[in-house]
Amino acid sequence: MYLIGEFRETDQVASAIRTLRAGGIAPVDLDLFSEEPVELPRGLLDRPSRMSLASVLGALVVGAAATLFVYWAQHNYRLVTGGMPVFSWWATGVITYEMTMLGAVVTAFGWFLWESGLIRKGGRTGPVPEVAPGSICVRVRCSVEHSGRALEAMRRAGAIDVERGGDD
Amino acid sequence: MWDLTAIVTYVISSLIYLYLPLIPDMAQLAEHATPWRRRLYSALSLGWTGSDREWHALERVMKLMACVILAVAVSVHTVVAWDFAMSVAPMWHSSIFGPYFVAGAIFSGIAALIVVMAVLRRVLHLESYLTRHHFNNLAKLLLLMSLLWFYFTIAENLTVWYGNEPKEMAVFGARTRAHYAPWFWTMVVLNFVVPFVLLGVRRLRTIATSTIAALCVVIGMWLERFIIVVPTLANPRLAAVSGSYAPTWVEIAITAATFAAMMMLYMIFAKLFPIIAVWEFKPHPQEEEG
Repeated sequence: MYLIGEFRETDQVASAIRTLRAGGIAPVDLDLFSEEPVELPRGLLDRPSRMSLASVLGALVVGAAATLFVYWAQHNYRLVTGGMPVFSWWATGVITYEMTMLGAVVTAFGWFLWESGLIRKGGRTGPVPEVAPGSICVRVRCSVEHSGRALEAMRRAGAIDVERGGDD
Repeated sequence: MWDLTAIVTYVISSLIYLYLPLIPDMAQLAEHATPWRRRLYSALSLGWTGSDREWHALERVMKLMACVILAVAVSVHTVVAWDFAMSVAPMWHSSIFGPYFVAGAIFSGIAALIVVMAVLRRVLHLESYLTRHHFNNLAKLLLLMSLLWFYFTIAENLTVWYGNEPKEMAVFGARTRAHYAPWFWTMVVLNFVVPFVLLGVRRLRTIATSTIAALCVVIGMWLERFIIVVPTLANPRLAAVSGSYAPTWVEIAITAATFAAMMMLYMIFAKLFPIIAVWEFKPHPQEEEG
């Protein structure tokens, strides 16, 4: 089941999350909803990401693929170069660089879509609260037996409203 | 291939970088707009809910993109400069052309930004969002870039003049003393003298003067492109093909149409999408009170 608590202050949200986590709720079962990004203390609700690594790998793959394609194209259709090499690293370097950057950008964007869940509609479960301006909603997924403690934790932290949000 | 890969990379990166901060705002707009706009914003917001996972991912990708797009911007303007520099044409074959073009792009970019900000501020009444602090800081940056541009221009022309190579001197003479001299010196006045006076003196640096200086720079930087391209093509290494140039009505019409198309695209964009990221900006309290 889900519980949704509405808060006004970031400190209250931090306090609620601290208590909920101490009570055995895992970060994966906690979600915040707000109209603007919420800055929480480091380590409280970190969302580990491999975006940088994915971006570097994407850059390397696309850069290498583009270089190989140029090499293949130059040898497949040989131009008369007057004794100069058919394939030159100097001339290909710009193409390699640009395509490496394009690989980084496109992979970062794709990873963002994946990591944020925006293209994984099937993976989305649970009710999405309507967030009033200036409010922060905390959504908790917990078992029925844990729900009483979770509800109490949010009320004590300063939630102005806590409601059940539907079953998992 | 250089230009193709550079420009494609730049266009795709810029579009993604423009689109990313619009996603949360479009999710909000989808709740208030007319039916067809609601469909457009809903589709473009990709079902954004405002969860912390989405915010984390958005902030992360925007930081990453900010780094990458800077490297792409430098490389794109350098590649365009290298297209000129590698042609061995007089006054194009220069090793400082890369940084010269990058500095010029940043210079004209800041100027265009100030002009657009001033117009939007006036037309859309964004006085609380686009404050004098923004203009003041951008004006200082414009002044810095003006000095840098002047340094590059001096470096470029001084070395040619001192080298005294006949073919290069023909272009240098055409630029500074003969047929194209009025355009060259107008460019120097618009890109250096006007910004230096209006932005360098603190008391003169207002929103209005910053906009005037920026408008001068936009015109001056267009003249700079003209001065780079035309005198060299009119005085090539093969004397047999040299001549003078005056634009035809077709060229003038194409240039005017390009400016008009750009303005129209920008106005359509400003009409459809928030011109200031709503979730990133709060009105400046002092300006609101004033």
